[in-house]
Amino acid sequence: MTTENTKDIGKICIPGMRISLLNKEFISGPGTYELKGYIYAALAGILKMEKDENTKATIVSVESPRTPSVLPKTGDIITGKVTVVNSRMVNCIILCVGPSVLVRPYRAVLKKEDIKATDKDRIDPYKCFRPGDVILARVLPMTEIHWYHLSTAENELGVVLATAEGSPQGVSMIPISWSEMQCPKTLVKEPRKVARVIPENINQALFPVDKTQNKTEETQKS
Amino acid sequence: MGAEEQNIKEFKLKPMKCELNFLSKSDGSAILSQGETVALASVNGPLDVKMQSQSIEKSTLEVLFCSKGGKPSVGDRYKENIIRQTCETAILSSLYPRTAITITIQELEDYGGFLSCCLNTACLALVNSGVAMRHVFAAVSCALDDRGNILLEPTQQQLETARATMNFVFDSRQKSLVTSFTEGAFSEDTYKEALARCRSASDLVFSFYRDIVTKYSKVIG
Repeated sequence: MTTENTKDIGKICIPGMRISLLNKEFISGPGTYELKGYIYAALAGILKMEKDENTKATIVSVESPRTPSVLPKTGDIITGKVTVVNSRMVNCIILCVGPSVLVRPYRAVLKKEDIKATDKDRIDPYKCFRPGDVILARVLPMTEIHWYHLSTAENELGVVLATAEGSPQGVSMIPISWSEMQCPKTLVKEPRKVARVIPENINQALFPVDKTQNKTEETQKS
Repeated sequence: MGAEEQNIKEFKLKPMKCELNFLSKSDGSAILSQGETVALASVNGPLDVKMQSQSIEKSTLEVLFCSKGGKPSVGDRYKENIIRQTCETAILSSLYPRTAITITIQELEDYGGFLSCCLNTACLALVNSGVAMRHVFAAVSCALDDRGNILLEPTQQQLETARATMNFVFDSRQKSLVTSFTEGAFSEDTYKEALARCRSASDLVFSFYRDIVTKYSKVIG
Protein backbone atom coordinates (compact mmCIF):
# COMPACT_ATOMS: atom_id res chain seq x y z
CA MET A 1 0.00 0.00 0.00
CA THR A 2 1.21 3.50 -0.71
CA THR A 3 1.76 5.82 2.23
CA GLU A 4 -1.39 7.86 2.72
CA ASN A 5 -1.24 11.64 3.03
CA THR A 6 -1.86 12.52 6.66
CA LYS A 7 -3.35 15.92 5.80
CA ASP A 8 -6.49 14.31 4.38
CA ILE A 9 -8.52 14.45 7.57
CA GLY A 10 -12.03 13.07 7.21
CA LYS A 11 -11.03 10.59 4.52
CA ILE A 12 -12.16 6.98 4.56
CA CYS A 13 -9.79 4.32 5.93
CA ILE A 14 -9.92 0.56 5.65
CA PRO A 15 -8.05 -1.86 7.97
CA GLY A 16 -4.36 -2.17 7.12
CA MET A 17 -4.13 1.26 5.49
CA ARG A 18 -0.93 3.08 6.43
CA ILE A 19 -1.89 6.44 7.91
CA SER A 20 1.33 8.11 9.06
CA LEU A 21 4.74 7.73 10.64
CA LEU A 22 4.94 6.92 14.33
CA ASN A 23 7.04 9.57 16.05
CA LYS A 24 6.81 12.38 18.62
CA GLU A 25 4.43 14.30 16.38
CA PHE A 26 1.94 11.49 15.72
CA ILE A 27 0.52 9.11 18.35
CA SER A 28 -1.81 6.22 17.57
CA GLY A 29 -5.28 6.58 19.05
CA PRO A 30 -8.42 4.41 19.06
CA GLY A 31 -9.10 2.46 15.87
CA THR A 32 -5.40 2.30 14.95
CA TYR A 33 -2.34 0.19 15.75
CA GLU A 34 1.43 0.59 15.56
CA LEU A 35 3.76 -1.56 13.48
CA LYS A 36 7.40 -1.05 12.45
CA GLY A 37 7.38 2.71 12.94
CA TYR A 38 4.07 3.37 11.21
CA ILE A 39 0.47 3.89 12.29
CA TYR A 40 -2.08 1.67 10.54
CA ALA A 41 -5.88 1.72 10.56
CA ALA A 42 -7.58 -1.15 12.41
CA LEU A 43 -11.17 -0.20 11.58
CA ALA A 44 -13.11 0.90 8.54
CA GLY A 45 -14.14 4.48 9.13
CA ILE A 46 -13.23 8.15 9.00
CA LEU A 47 -9.75 9.41 9.83
CA LYS A 48 -9.60 11.90 12.71
CA MET A 49 -6.58 13.88 13.88
CA GLU A 50 -6.67 15.77 17.18
CA LYS A 51 -3.99 17.88 18.82
CA ASP A 52 -3.13 16.88 22.38
CA GLU A 53 -2.67 20.09 24.37
CA ASN A 54 -0.38 18.52 26.98
CA THR A 55 2.11 16.71 24.74
CA LYS A 56 1.48 18.91 21.65
CA ALA A 57 1.33 15.73 19.56
CA THR A 58 -1.34 14.75 17.06
CA ILE A 59 -3.51 11.79 18.07
CA VAL A 60 -4.38 9.77 14.98
CA SER A 61 -7.62 7.81 15.30
CA VAL A 62 -10.18 6.12 13.08
CA GLU A 63 -13.81 6.70 13.97
CA SER A 64 -15.96 3.78 12.90
CA PRO A 65 -19.70 4.23 12.27
CA ARG A 66 -20.09 0.86 13.99
CA THR A 67 -19.58 1.19 17.74
CA PRO A 68 -16.47 -0.82 18.64
CA SER A 69 -17.14 -3.65 21.06
CA VAL A 70 -16.35 -2.72 24.65
CA LEU A 71 -14.99 -5.41 26.98
CA PRO A 72 -14.85 -5.09 30.78
CA LYS A 73 -11.31 -4.36 31.97
CA THR A 74 -9.81 -4.53 35.45
CA GLY A 75 -10.92 -1.50 37.46
CA ASP A 76 -13.94 -0.65 35.32
CA ILE A 77 -17.26 0.18 36.99
CA ILE A 78 -19.99 -1.99 35.52
CA THR A 79 -23.76 -2.11 35.74
CA GLY A 80 -25.04 -5.64 36.14
CA LYS A 81 -28.09 -7.70 36.96
CA VAL A 82 -28.12 -10.42 39.62
CA THR A 83 -29.24 -13.79 38.26
CA VAL A 84 -28.41 -16.36 40.98
CA VAL A 85 -27.67 -15.95 44.69
CA ASN A 86 -26.22 -18.74 46.80
CA SER A 87 -24.33 -18.99 50.09
CA ARG A 88 -20.86 -18.66 48.52
CA MET A 89 -21.30 -16.29 45.58
CA VAL A 90 -23.62 -14.15 43.50
CA ASN A 91 -23.90 -14.75 39.76
CA CYS A 92 -24.57 -11.72 37.57
CA ILE A 93 -24.64 -10.60 33.98
CA ILE A 94 -22.77 -7.45 32.94
CA LEU A 95 -25.04 -5.07 31.01
CA CYS A 96 -22.98 -1.85 30.84
CA VAL A 97 -19.31 -0.95 31.13
CA GLY A 98 -19.04 2.62 32.36
CA PRO A 99 -21.35 4.74 30.19
CA SER A 100 -21.48 2.34 27.23
CA VAL A 101 -24.22 -0.27 26.96
CA LEU A 102 -23.10 -3.72 25.81
CA VAL A 103 -24.72 -5.32 22.80
CA ARG A 104 -24.54 -8.68 24.57
CA PRO A 105 -24.25 -9.44 28.28
CA TYR A 106 -21.19 -11.12 29.82
CA ARG A 107 -21.26 -13.53 32.75
CA ALA A 108 -19.68 -12.44 36.02
CA VAL A 109 -19.37 -13.68 39.58
CA LEU A 110 -19.34 -11.75 42.85
CA LYS A 111 -17.73 -13.78 45.64
CA LYS A 112 -18.90 -13.61 49.24
CA GLU A 113 -15.59 -12.05 50.40
CA ASP A 114 -15.86 -9.21 47.85
CA ILE A 115 -19.35 -8.02 48.82
CA LYS A 116 -18.32 -5.74 51.71
CA ALA A 117 -15.06 -4.25 52.91
CA THR A 118 -15.77 -5.10 56.57
CA ASP A 119 -17.08 -8.21 58.40
CA LYS A 120 -16.16 -10.47 55.51
CA ASP A 121 -16.71 -13.64 57.56
CA ARG A 122 -20.24 -12.81 58.66
CA ILE A 123 -21.66 -11.71 55.30
CA ASP A 124 -24.80 -13.45 54.10
CA PRO A 125 -25.23 -12.95 50.33
CA TYR A 126 -29.02 -13.41 50.69
CA LYS A 127 -29.12 -10.28 52.87
CA CYS A 128 -27.18 -8.26 50.31
CA PHE A 129 -28.57 -9.21 46.90
CA ARG A 130 -31.63 -10.86 45.36
CA PRO A 131 -32.14 -12.10 41.79
CA GLY A 132 -33.26 -9.26 39.54
CA ASP A 133 -31.39 -6.51 41.40
CA VAL A 134 -29.50 -3.98 39.31
CA ILE A 135 -26.07 -3.41 40.82
CA LEU A 136 -22.96 -1.29 40.39
CA ALA A 137 -19.68 -3.18 40.81
CA ARG A 138 -15.99 -2.94 40.03
CA VAL A 139 -14.15 -5.49 37.86
CA LEU A 140 -11.38 -7.28 39.75
CA PRO A 141 -8.19 -8.75 38.26
CA MET A 142 -8.76 -12.15 36.68
CA THR A 143 -8.21 -15.29 38.72
CA GLU A 144 -10.31 -17.71 36.68
CA ILE A 145 -10.61 -17.95 32.92
CA HIS A 146 -14.34 -18.38 32.59
CA TRP A 147 -15.80 -15.54 34.65
CA TYR A 148 -15.33 -11.86 35.25
CA HIS A 149 -14.81 -11.25 38.97
CA LEU A 150 -16.62 -8.34 40.58
CA SER A 151 -16.43 -6.45 43.87
CA THR A 152 -18.90 -4.21 45.68
CA ALA A 153 -16.59 -3.45 48.64
CA GLU A 154 -17.03 0.33 48.35
CA ASN A 155 -19.70 2.74 49.55
CA GLU A 156 -20.55 3.78 45.98
CA LEU A 157 -21.05 0.18 44.86
CA GLY A 158 -23.93 -2.19 45.51
CA VAL A 159 -27.64 -2.38 44.74
CA VAL A 160 -29.05 0.55 42.79
CA LEU A 161 -32.47 -0.71 41.69
CA ALA A 162 -34.45 -3.43 43.43
CA THR A 163 -38.06 -4.51 43.70
CA ALA A 164 -39.53 -5.93 46.91
CA GLU A 165 -40.90 -9.48 46.85
CA GLY A 166 -44.60 -8.69 47.13
CA SER A 167 -44.48 -5.35 45.33
CA PRO A 168 -45.94 -4.74 41.87
CA GLN A 169 -43.42 -4.87 39.03
CA GLY A 170 -41.82 -1.55 38.18
CA VAL A 171 -41.98 -0.09 41.69
CA SER A 172 -38.40 0.31 42.87
CA MET A 173 -37.47 0.35 46.53
CA ILE A 174 -35.96 3.41 48.19
CA PRO A 175 -32.80 3.09 50.32
CA ILE A 176 -33.38 3.95 53.98
CA SER A 177 -29.96 2.93 55.32
CA TRP A 178 -26.69 1.31 54.18
CA SER A 179 -28.22 -2.14 54.59
CA GLU A 180 -31.96 -1.67 54.02
CA MET A 181 -34.40 -0.65 51.30
CA GLN A 182 -38.12 0.02 51.55
CA CYS A 183 -40.92 -0.25 49.02
CA PRO A 184 -42.83 3.07 48.78
CA LYS A 185 -46.15 1.30 48.07
CA THR A 186 -46.24 -1.73 50.37
CA LEU A 187 -43.73 -0.27 52.92
CA VAL A 188 -41.97 -3.65 53.05
CA LYS A 189 -38.36 -3.44 54.23
CA GLU A 190 -35.74 -5.75 52.75
CA PRO A 191 -32.01 -6.13 53.48
CA ARG A 192 -29.64 -5.05 50.69
CA LYS A 193 -26.05 -3.89 50.26
CA VAL A 194 -27.06 -0.39 49.18
CA ALA A 195 -24.93 1.72 46.85
CA ARG A 196 -24.57 5.42 47.59
CA VAL A 197 -25.44 6.78 44.16
CA ILE A 198 -24.24 10.34 43.67
CA PRO A 199 -26.81 12.22 41.56
CA GLU A 200 -25.57 13.94 38.40
CA ASN A 201 -27.02 17.31 39.42
CA ILE A 202 -25.32 17.26 42.85
CA ASN A 203 -23.52 20.57 42.23
CA GLN A 204 -26.77 22.34 41.34
CA ALA A 205 -28.43 20.94 44.47
CA LEU A 206 -25.60 21.99 46.79
CA PHE A 207 -24.85 25.33 45.14
CA PRO A 208 -28.06 26.65 43.58
CA VAL A 209 -27.53 29.46 41.10
CA ASP A 210 -29.99 32.33 41.49
CA LYS A 211 -30.67 33.77 38.04
CA THR A 212 -32.05 37.09 39.35
CA GLN A 213 -28.91 37.62 41.43
CA ASN A 214 -26.74 37.03 38.35
CA LYS A 215 -28.74 39.60 36.38
CA THR A 216 -28.35 42.28 39.05
CA GLU A 217 -24.59 41.63 39.18
CA GLU A 218 -24.35 42.03 35.41
CA THR A 219 -26.26 45.32 35.45
CA GLN A 220 -24.03 46.65 38.23
CA LYS A 221 -20.92 45.76 36.21
CA SER A 222 -22.24 47.50 33.12
CA MET B 1 10.50 -8.64 -19.71
CA GLY B 2 8.39 -5.70 -20.89
CA ALA B 3 6.01 -8.03 -22.73
CA GLU B 4 5.62 -10.16 -19.60
CA GLU B 5 4.74 -7.10 -17.52
CA GLN B 6 2.21 -6.07 -20.13
CA ASN B 7 0.62 -9.53 -19.98
CA ILE B 8 0.34 -9.31 -16.22
CA LYS B 9 -1.42 -5.96 -16.41
CA GLU B 10 -3.88 -7.06 -19.08
CA PHE B 11 -6.45 -8.89 -17.01
CA LYS B 12 -10.06 -8.58 -16.01
CA LEU B 13 -11.84 -10.03 -13.01
CA LYS B 14 -15.49 -11.01 -12.87
CA PRO B 15 -17.74 -8.01 -12.19
CA MET B 16 -18.19 -7.63 -8.42
CA LYS B 17 -21.32 -6.39 -6.71
CA CYS B 18 -21.75 -6.10 -2.97
CA GLU B 19 -24.22 -5.00 -0.33
CA LEU B 20 -23.26 -4.48 3.30
CA ASN B 21 -25.69 -4.64 6.25
CA PHE B 22 -27.71 -7.19 4.32
CA LEU B 23 -28.95 -8.86 7.53
CA SER B 24 -30.53 -6.70 10.20
CA LYS B 25 -29.88 -8.82 13.30
CA SER B 26 -26.18 -9.60 12.87
CA ASP B 27 -23.27 -7.34 13.90
CA GLY B 28 -21.95 -7.28 10.36
CA SER B 29 -23.05 -8.87 7.11
CA ALA B 30 -22.27 -8.75 3.41
CA ILE B 31 -23.59 -10.32 0.23
CA LEU B 32 -21.12 -10.46 -2.64
CA SER B 33 -21.45 -11.60 -6.22
CA GLN B 34 -18.39 -12.28 -8.35
CA GLY B 35 -19.85 -12.85 -11.78
CA GLU B 36 -22.63 -15.38 -11.21
CA THR B 37 -21.11 -16.78 -8.00
CA VAL B 38 -22.88 -15.40 -4.94
CA ALA B 39 -22.14 -15.80 -1.21
CA LEU B 40 -23.65 -14.30 1.93
CA ALA B 41 -21.63 -13.85 5.15
CA SER B 42 -22.70 -12.85 8.63
CA VAL B 43 -20.44 -11.90 11.56
CA ASN B 44 -21.50 -11.96 15.21
CA GLY B 45 -19.21 -11.00 18.03
CA PRO B 46 -17.38 -10.54 20.25
CA LEU B 47 -19.80 -12.63 22.33
CA ASP B 48 -19.71 -14.77 25.46
CA VAL B 49 -18.25 -18.19 24.75
CA LYS B 50 -18.52 -21.72 26.14
CA MET B 51 -15.97 -22.68 28.76
CA GLN B 52 -14.24 -25.40 26.74
CA SER B 53 -13.49 -23.18 23.74
CA GLN B 54 -12.45 -20.09 25.70
CA SER B 55 -8.97 -18.63 25.27
CA ILE B 56 -7.54 -16.41 28.00
CA GLU B 57 -5.45 -14.14 25.76
CA LYS B 58 -7.41 -13.91 22.51
CA SER B 59 -10.82 -14.37 20.95
CA THR B 60 -11.95 -17.68 19.49
CA LEU B 61 -12.96 -17.58 15.84
CA GLU B 62 -15.71 -19.94 14.73
CA VAL B 63 -16.64 -20.39 11.07
CA LEU B 64 -19.82 -22.11 9.95
CA PHE B 65 -20.33 -22.87 6.27
CA CYS B 66 -23.80 -23.73 4.97
CA SER B 67 -23.97 -25.27 1.52
CA LYS B 68 -26.91 -24.88 -0.83
CA GLY B 69 -28.08 -28.44 -0.20
CA GLY B 70 -27.96 -27.95 3.55
CA LYS B 71 -26.22 -31.26 4.31
CA PRO B 72 -22.75 -30.82 5.84
CA SER B 73 -19.89 -32.59 4.06
CA VAL B 74 -16.11 -33.01 4.36
CA GLY B 75 -15.65 -30.36 1.66
CA ASP B 76 -17.59 -27.89 3.79
CA ARG B 77 -15.32 -28.57 6.79
CA TYR B 78 -12.32 -27.98 4.51
CA LYS B 79 -13.76 -24.62 3.40
CA GLU B 80 -14.48 -23.67 7.02
CA ASN B 81 -10.90 -24.48 7.99
CA ILE B 82 -9.41 -22.36 5.20
CA ILE B 83 -11.69 -19.39 5.94
CA ARG B 84 -11.03 -19.62 9.69
CA GLN B 85 -7.24 -19.75 9.31
CA THR B 86 -7.27 -16.86 6.83
CA CYS B 87 -9.51 -14.67 9.00
CA GLU B 88 -7.43 -15.43 12.11
CA THR B 89 -4.42 -13.79 10.46
CA ALA B 90 -6.41 -10.60 9.83
CA ILE B 91 -8.35 -10.13 13.09
CA LEU B 92 -6.69 -8.42 16.07
CA SER B 93 -8.00 -11.15 18.34
CA SER B 94 -5.89 -10.11 21.35
CA LEU B 95 -8.21 -7.11 21.80
CA TYR B 96 -11.12 -9.43 22.58
CA PRO B 97 -9.91 -12.03 25.11
CA ARG B 98 -12.29 -14.73 26.40
CA THR B 99 -14.85 -14.07 23.66
CA ALA B 100 -15.93 -15.65 20.40
CA ILE B 101 -16.38 -14.20 16.93
CA THR B 102 -18.67 -16.24 14.71
CA ILE B 103 -18.65 -16.07 10.92
CA THR B 104 -21.51 -17.81 9.10
CA ILE B 105 -21.29 -18.20 5.33
CA GLN B 106 -24.21 -19.26 3.16
CA GLU B 107 -23.71 -20.51 -0.38
CA LEU B 108 -26.23 -18.96 -2.76
CA GLU B 109 -24.84 -19.64 -6.25
CA ASP B 110 -21.68 -21.49 -7.30
CA TYR B 111 -20.51 -20.87 -10.87
CA GLY B 112 -16.77 -21.21 -10.28
CA GLY B 113 -14.32 -19.47 -7.93
CA PHE B 114 -16.64 -20.00 -4.98
CA LEU B 115 -14.00 -20.31 -2.25
CA SER B 116 -12.37 -17.00 -3.18
CA CYS B 117 -15.84 -15.41 -3.26
CA CYS B 118 -16.50 -16.75 0.26
CA LEU B 119 -13.22 -15.33 1.56
CA ASN B 120 -13.91 -11.90 0.07
CA THR B 121 -17.45 -11.93 1.47
CA ALA B 122 -16.15 -12.89 4.93
CA CYS B 123 -13.63 -10.04 4.77
CA LEU B 124 -16.32 -7.49 3.87
CA ALA B 125 -18.59 -8.78 6.64
CA LEU B 126 -15.74 -8.42 9.17
CA VAL B 127 -15.07 -4.86 7.97
CA ASN B 128 -18.79 -4.11 8.32
CA SER B 129 -18.98 -5.58 11.83
CA GLY B 130 -16.47 -3.14 13.32
CA VAL B 131 -14.07 -5.86 14.51
CA ALA B 132 -10.49 -4.52 14.68
CA MET B 133 -8.33 -5.99 11.90
CA ARG B 134 -4.63 -5.90 11.04
CA HIS B 135 -5.44 -5.74 7.34
CA VAL B 136 -8.08 -6.69 4.82
CA PHE B 137 -7.43 -9.59 2.48
CA ALA B 138 -8.32 -10.35 -1.13
CA ALA B 139 -8.76 -13.81 -2.60
CA VAL B 140 -8.13 -14.40 -6.31
CA SER B 141 -8.56 -17.73 -8.10
CA CYS B 142 -7.03 -18.90 -11.35
CA ALA B 143 -6.97 -22.06 -13.47
CA LEU B 144 -4.47 -23.70 -15.80
CA ASP B 145 -6.05 -24.93 -19.04
CA ASP B 146 -4.91 -27.79 -21.34
CA ARG B 147 -2.63 -25.49 -23.34
CA GLY B 148 -0.93 -24.20 -20.19
CA ASN B 149 -2.59 -20.78 -20.22
CA ILE B 150 -3.44 -19.12 -16.91
CA LEU B 151 -7.09 -18.06 -16.66
CA LEU B 152 -7.97 -15.56 -13.94
CA GLU B 153 -11.34 -16.04 -12.22
CA PRO B 154 -12.34 -19.09 -14.29
CA THR B 155 -15.96 -19.98 -15.04
CA GLN B 156 -17.58 -23.32 -14.23
CA GLN B 157 -16.94 -24.64 -17.76
CA GLN B 158 -13.28 -23.61 -17.66
CA LEU B 159 -12.85 -25.28 -14.27
CA GLU B 160 -14.25 -28.58 -15.56
CA THR B 161 -11.61 -28.79 -18.28
CA ALA B 162 -8.78 -27.20 -16.25
CA ARG B 163 -5.56 -29.08 -15.57
CA ALA B 164 -5.05 -27.30 -12.24
CA THR B 165 -6.72 -24.67 -10.08
CA MET B 166 -4.98 -22.22 -7.75
CA ASN B 167 -6.37 -19.87 -5.12
CA PHE B 168 -4.34 -17.12 -3.50
CA VAL B 169 -5.14 -14.74 -0.66
CA PHE B 170 -3.14 -11.52 -0.24
CA ASP B 171 -3.08 -8.95 2.55
CA SER B 172 -3.61 -5.25 1.89
CA ARG B 173 -0.56 -4.05 3.81
CA GLN B 174 2.35 -5.49 1.83
CA LYS B 175 0.56 -7.70 -0.71
CA SER B 176 2.17 -10.69 0.98
CA LEU B 177 0.67 -14.14 0.47
CA VAL B 178 -1.60 -15.13 3.36
CA THR B 179 -3.16 -18.35 2.07
CA SER B 180 -2.57 -20.55 -0.95
CA PHE B 181 -4.47 -23.70 -1.89
CA THR B 182 -4.04 -25.59 -5.13
CA GLU B 183 -5.35 -28.65 -6.96
CA GLY B 184 -3.81 -30.52 -9.90
CA ALA B 185 -0.34 -30.73 -11.44
CA PHE B 186 1.74 -27.72 -12.55
CA SER B 187 5.35 -26.58 -12.77
CA GLU B 188 7.09 -24.20 -10.36
CA ASP B 189 7.38 -21.50 -13.04
CA THR B 190 3.65 -21.73 -13.74
CA TYR B 191 2.94 -21.34 -10.03
CA LYS B 192 5.15 -18.25 -9.81
CA GLU B 193 3.53 -16.71 -12.88
CA ALA B 194 0.04 -17.40 -11.51
CA LEU B 195 1.07 -15.90 -8.17
CA ALA B 196 2.35 -12.72 -9.86
CA ARG B 197 -0.82 -12.34 -11.93
CA CYS B 198 -3.11 -12.91 -8.97
CA ARG B 199 -1.10 -10.46 -6.85
CA SER B 200 -1.60 -7.80 -9.52
CA ALA B 201 -5.28 -8.70 -9.80
CA SER B 202 -5.74 -8.31 -6.03
CA ASP B 203 -5.34 -4.53 -6.54
CA LEU B 204 -8.74 -4.51 -8.22
CA VAL B 205 -10.31 -6.29 -5.24
CA PHE B 206 -8.73 -3.86 -2.75
CA SER B 207 -9.91 -0.84 -4.74
CA PHE B 208 -13.39 -2.43 -4.81
CA TYR B 209 -13.27 -2.74 -0.99
CA ARG B 210 -12.31 0.93 -0.71
CA ASP B 211 -15.17 1.97 -2.98
CA ILE B 212 -17.66 -0.11 -0.98
CA VAL B 213 -16.49 1.27 2.38
CA THR B 214 -16.61 4.83 0.99
CA LYS B 215 -20.13 4.22 -0.31
CA TYR B 216 -21.35 2.83 3.01
CA SER B 217 -19.33 5.11 5.31
CA LYS B 218 -22.35 7.33 5.97
CA VAL B 219 -24.82 4.49 6.50
CA ILE B 220 -22.86 1.65 8.14
CA GLY B 221 -24.17 2.46 11.61
